[in-house]
Order: sequence, then C-alpha cells, then structure tokens
Amino acid sequence: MPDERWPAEWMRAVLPLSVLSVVAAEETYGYLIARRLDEAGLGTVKGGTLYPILGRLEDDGLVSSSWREGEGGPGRKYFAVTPAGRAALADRSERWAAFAAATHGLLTTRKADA
Amino acid sequence: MITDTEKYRRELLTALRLRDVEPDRIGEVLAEVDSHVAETGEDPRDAFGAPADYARVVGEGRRGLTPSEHRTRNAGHALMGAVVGAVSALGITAVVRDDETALGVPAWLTLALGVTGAVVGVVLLAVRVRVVRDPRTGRPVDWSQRWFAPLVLTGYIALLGVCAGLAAVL
Repeated sequence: MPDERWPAEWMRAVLPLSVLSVVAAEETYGYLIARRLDEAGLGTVKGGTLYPILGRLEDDGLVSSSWREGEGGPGRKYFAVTPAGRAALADRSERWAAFAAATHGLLTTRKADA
Repeated sequence: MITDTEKYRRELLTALRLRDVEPDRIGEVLAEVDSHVAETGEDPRDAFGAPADYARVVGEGRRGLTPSEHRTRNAGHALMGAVVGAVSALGITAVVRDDETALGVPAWLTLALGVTGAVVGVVLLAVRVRVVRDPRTGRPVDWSQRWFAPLVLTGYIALLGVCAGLAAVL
C-alpha cells in the first residue's frame, strides 16, 4: 500500500470516527491504533495527531483509558470503547455512509456528464 | 536517545505549564510521549512536533488564562508578596528597636499582621500547587513545584532575620 497523503482537512474530519472504530474493534494502545489506521489505507498518523484525538474522545466519554505494564518498556496506555462510544460509533458510521454515498453520487454523476 | 526524550519531555512540561493545562492532563501527555517513543523508536520531535506546537494542540479547546490575565495574576502575586514583606520588615525592625508603633499601630500588631499574611500566603501557595505526577507510577515528574512554597518560606524567614539583625546593630 503506497503511503497516500490524503488532504489534511479530510483527515481531520474522518480521524476521530476512524480512531473510535479501531478502539471499538478491540481494546488497544496508541502505536497499534496508528498501525491499524495505516493498514486501513489512511496513511501514517503521527503521535502528535493521534493522542489529542484519543484525549478528546476520552473527554467526551466515548473511550476510557488505563495504564498497564509493558514488557520491559515504560508501560502502555490502553484505550477501550464505552457504551456511549459504541452508540456514537453506530450512529455516526451510519451517517458517514449516507454522506459518503451522497458525495460519491455527486462526483460520479459529474464524471458521467463529462 | 534517552536524553533526547528527557529533554523533549522537559520542554513540553514547561510549554504545557505555561498554557495552564491541568497537572493530571500534563502527566498523561508526558507519559504518552514516553510510551509511544519507546514503542516506535521515533524521535519525539518527528512524532509529536515541536514542544510548543504540541502544547498548543493539547491546550486547544481547554480553558486557560490569556497572556494578559497571566501578567495581571503574576503582578498581583508580586504586589501581595511585596506588601507582606514590607509590613513584616517594618514590624520586626520596630519590635527589635523597642519602638512603640510602626505604620501607626502598635509595633507588635504590625509584625503580627505581616507574619499572618506570610503564613496565609505560603499555605495558599502550598495548597494550590498541584504537582504533575506520572500516571504510571504516581511519582512526581516535576520536583521544582514541590520546593516552591518551602523556598518562599525560607526566603521570608531570612528577610525577617536580616531586618532584626540590622535593627539590633544600627
């Protein structure tokens, strides 16, 4: 997968929901979340972008966090989805799908016209 | 490597303090940097950006003091400190020299007022300073904050001592 750089404003819009979705799939920590996002095709997400998003999700009560001992390392901060986070993810995923379909429809119509 | 991360964390700590981010949040942010860098082997500057920039991102949307509010608050603290120090100095000088009054009230009362003001000030300082702790160990990250109140108290006692000494000699 080439390291695609999506426009920054697209990433800003989609990252919180994407991060929430990764955390909802399983309880995990920062480095693995970044790797999952990369594997999903969103490109490299730096720690300086990722942790503030996780912090905001936690402030909003959508995820919770806990520190655990690492293997010889300085410990990892694990993030887990909360019931409110699961509800928000379901709602926003649905709306995102509708939004993406609308955008896709608009863009492909234009292409067909041309 | 370790010194790079330590240096980065120190700069970030200062930048976050300047932005009045809550100590608990600062502790979390510093531990996240430490843990992430240890995991990935990245340079903290590459992963998180310059400390001042990252502090701005962390502080976004959080309530903090504006620079002018900061200046007003610091000036207020300095003024209070100066007044308490001056009243205490005049009080102890008058008491040592056996003067009846100082600042228009009995000398002992001036000294008592000064000392009371200083004690209240130092207690407030000690209570309000909230130490930044590492959430992984619960240990303080930032020792300087811990010594601030005792240091001010020591300075105050030294001031009283010098004034008493001068008053006795002159």
